[in-house]
Amino acid sequence: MILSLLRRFAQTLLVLFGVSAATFLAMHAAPGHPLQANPELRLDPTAVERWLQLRQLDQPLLSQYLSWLSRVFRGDFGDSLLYNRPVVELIAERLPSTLLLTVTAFCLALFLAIVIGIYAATRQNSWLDRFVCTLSLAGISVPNFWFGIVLIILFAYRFPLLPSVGLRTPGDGSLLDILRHMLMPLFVMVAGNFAHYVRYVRSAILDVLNQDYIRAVRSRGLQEKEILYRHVLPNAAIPIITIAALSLPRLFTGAMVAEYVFGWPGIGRWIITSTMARDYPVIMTVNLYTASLVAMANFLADALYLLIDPRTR
Amino acid sequence: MRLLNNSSLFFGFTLITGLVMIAILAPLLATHSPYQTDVDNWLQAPSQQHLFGTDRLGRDIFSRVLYGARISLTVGLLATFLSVGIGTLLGLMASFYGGLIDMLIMRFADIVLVFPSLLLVLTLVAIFEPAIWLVILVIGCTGWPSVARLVRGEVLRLRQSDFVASARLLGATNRRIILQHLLPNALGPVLVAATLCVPAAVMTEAGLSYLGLGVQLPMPTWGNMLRDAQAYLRYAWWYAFFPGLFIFLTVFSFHLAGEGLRQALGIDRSTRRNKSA
Amino acid sequence: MLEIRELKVGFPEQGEILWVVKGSTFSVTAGEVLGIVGESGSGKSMTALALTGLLPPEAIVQGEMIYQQKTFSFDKREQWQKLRGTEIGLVFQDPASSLNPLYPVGRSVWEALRYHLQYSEEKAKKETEKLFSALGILPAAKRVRQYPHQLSGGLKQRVMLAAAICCRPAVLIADEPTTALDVTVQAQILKLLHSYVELQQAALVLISHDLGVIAQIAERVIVMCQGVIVEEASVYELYQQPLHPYTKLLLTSLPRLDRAILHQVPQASGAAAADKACVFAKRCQHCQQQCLTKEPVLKTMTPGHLVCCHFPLL
Repeated sequence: MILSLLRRFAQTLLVLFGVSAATFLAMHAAPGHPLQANPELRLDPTAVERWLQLRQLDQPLLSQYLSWLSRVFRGDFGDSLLYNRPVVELIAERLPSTLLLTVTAFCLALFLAIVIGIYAATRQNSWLDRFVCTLSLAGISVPNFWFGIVLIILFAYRFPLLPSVGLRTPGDGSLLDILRHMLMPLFVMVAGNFAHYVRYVRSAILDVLNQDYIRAVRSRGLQEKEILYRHVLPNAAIPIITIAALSLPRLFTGAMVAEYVFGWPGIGRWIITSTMARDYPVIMTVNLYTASLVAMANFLADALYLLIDPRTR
Repeated sequence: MRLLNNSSLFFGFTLITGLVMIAILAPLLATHSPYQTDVDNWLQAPSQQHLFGTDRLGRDIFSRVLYGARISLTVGLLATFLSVGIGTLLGLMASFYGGLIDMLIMRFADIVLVFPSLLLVLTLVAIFEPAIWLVILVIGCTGWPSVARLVRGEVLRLRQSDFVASARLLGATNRRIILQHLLPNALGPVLVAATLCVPAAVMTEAGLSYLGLGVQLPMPTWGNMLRDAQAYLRYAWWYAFFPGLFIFLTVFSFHLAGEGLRQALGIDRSTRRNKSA
Repeated sequence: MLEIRELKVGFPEQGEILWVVKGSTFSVTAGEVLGIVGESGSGKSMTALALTGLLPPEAIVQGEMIYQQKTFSFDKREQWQKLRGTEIGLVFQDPASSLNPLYPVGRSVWEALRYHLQYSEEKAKKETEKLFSALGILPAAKRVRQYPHQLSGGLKQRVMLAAAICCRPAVLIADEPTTALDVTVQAQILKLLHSYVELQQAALVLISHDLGVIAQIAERVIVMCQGVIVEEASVYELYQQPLHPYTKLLLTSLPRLDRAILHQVPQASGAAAADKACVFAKRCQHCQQQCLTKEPVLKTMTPGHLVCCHFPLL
């Protein structure tokens, strides 16, 4: 079984390689170059040529890709065309605030979903269960950017309680200030992801509750609570872990949008502007970085499987 | 009949029908031209004259929202056709040929699936110029992996069932088995998947347009109206509220219908990982 | 020792209640094996679940159970949690799906021991091993730590049995305990059940569709048909002289070496007979006018032999 884990890991690496190659080719095969992204700029053709030459953008595709790949293996992800600074540096500046938002949202959403999902599943078809189901269906249907906008209209303008943009008030870096800034984007992200997770948690728990072995455990006179924690939850954990791992792409997308709406100075916002400006090294690095994070999460989920389920050992 | 007893299917379907009617009848229902500017009456609050108020150029938001339904639904449906078409074809091919082709197709699906779709779409849109056909194409080309997985899994599952064995025993050819026995049986899950593809496409289109990478102004879509409203949130709540509300209603109705269909057809949501994928 | 009075089980169906057990009254004494037979849908499994309080939540249950001079009302289902495991044990039909796949099989035993008898972990595990070797799950030390997918069906059923009897319940209910097993394994499981009854002076309710299984260890038999007890007698009498036409049909449908043709029991038809009719009337060869208009009651023909028929086969 360790072997199959290793095989999956190798496949993951292959997927990463594929992602990088695909983005690279697609981006460079397209007509035009970064300096043409803004048509209003009128540039001197020789200057453009020199600029391209300096960044090896005039070389054949394959050699560009190979040189990029070899630099990546040495840990050099290149310089941003827009900022003229190493991409890694730019990411490092923005990563903490993105992680702060994303990780908090992920943990909160998953935790709430598990608690409420259990509650709903163990009271199947009660009014509360129906309420949770309807709410989650509505939750996955709300566009998160619109939800953010509605929150801003309500809590920043109509009732001016919270700041509408940014991570902190200039000159004020206190924890409370950051928390106040974080509240709305966090709420948007938690709500969306919670709605997504709670459906899966509920159906995973229901699925286990209907298994014969749960009835068998009951027949031995154990208390419901005991049965829930010791027998139902470990079995339901398998599909829940899967769904949590598979939802990471969603989480990233959600974070990008939330950052955009609330002017959160993280990676998401920067990616959007960089992509529009065709900042190749940034796009490549970010794609690679995201894909490896997602792939790693999938790998982790597989490893957790092994730990929980004796059938896979 | 079970289909009629299912209230979420009923509500979802009614809502969808309503939205489709709005899209078709937009020219009749609209009180103003969606492009007619009236700068003197900009940012008017909702009133008898302007049901949803007016935007920064004095255009009637109600009429623009109605016309926006056309674009959102068109994009949603066309993108879904594309994803389901590609997905079904590739899924069938993977399960039919197996071996290397199966491996290649499913790995490719993995790549697309593992990747945050917005990032992919962003990259593609950055390469080309934002345009409505590109939005459709891009959403269609990123939505297929789940359908392909589903079709492949369903075909592989059905292929082992007894009724296929008996068909084979009667001398049916592979082609016949796939077309006559497997595809019709896989139709239910594919139908559900298709119903759930639409809201995803509508949402992506709205998101892209909101970020300025989708359908471009002045053509009204709910997403770019929201983008337009961004600067006026403080003064004109209706500007952003109504377009977003319609995105929500559309997405919600398709989710309801999809959920209802799933229940009516007795397909359970599979949360378990497909081992062979 | 265990007495069931007027047990009724129903399910709500489109505004009405569909009764699947229509008022059963019976009892078991210590050291006795009571068999319940009937075709599928006769309500025997529902009876087993009702006795252990494990019916699905939407089920409607009425009647009462008298156990050790205490009366338990079936509609108060939460009372059963205290009885399960220690007073009433249950063995299921399908051992393959009745063990938690994530845990070693021994856990189902030591968990119950620790919970009900407050054993220490060490003692509970030791006790489990002892029980495993007593039940022939060998080598016990290794088996307790294995997972369900590593055990055969017969062994899994032994584990289920171990889990059911580890706290020495006075009543054991076995719902089709051998149906999913090979014939050779069937006999072993029945033997284990029987020896538990003898050793502990426990009462066993053995539910099966298989008259052969019942005949092997039961002393008294109840025949159920569409939720109604139609006949009750000692095994010997029932096989020698069935009084209810349904019992007779069941017996003649058994494959036998001296008969070439198998008799078939007519299928229960979907259409419900009139309220006031014998449940078997529509399928009975001896059906008469009275059978369609008047519900028969269970009456004693000879001591210990009860039948629910207007025209018993005498």
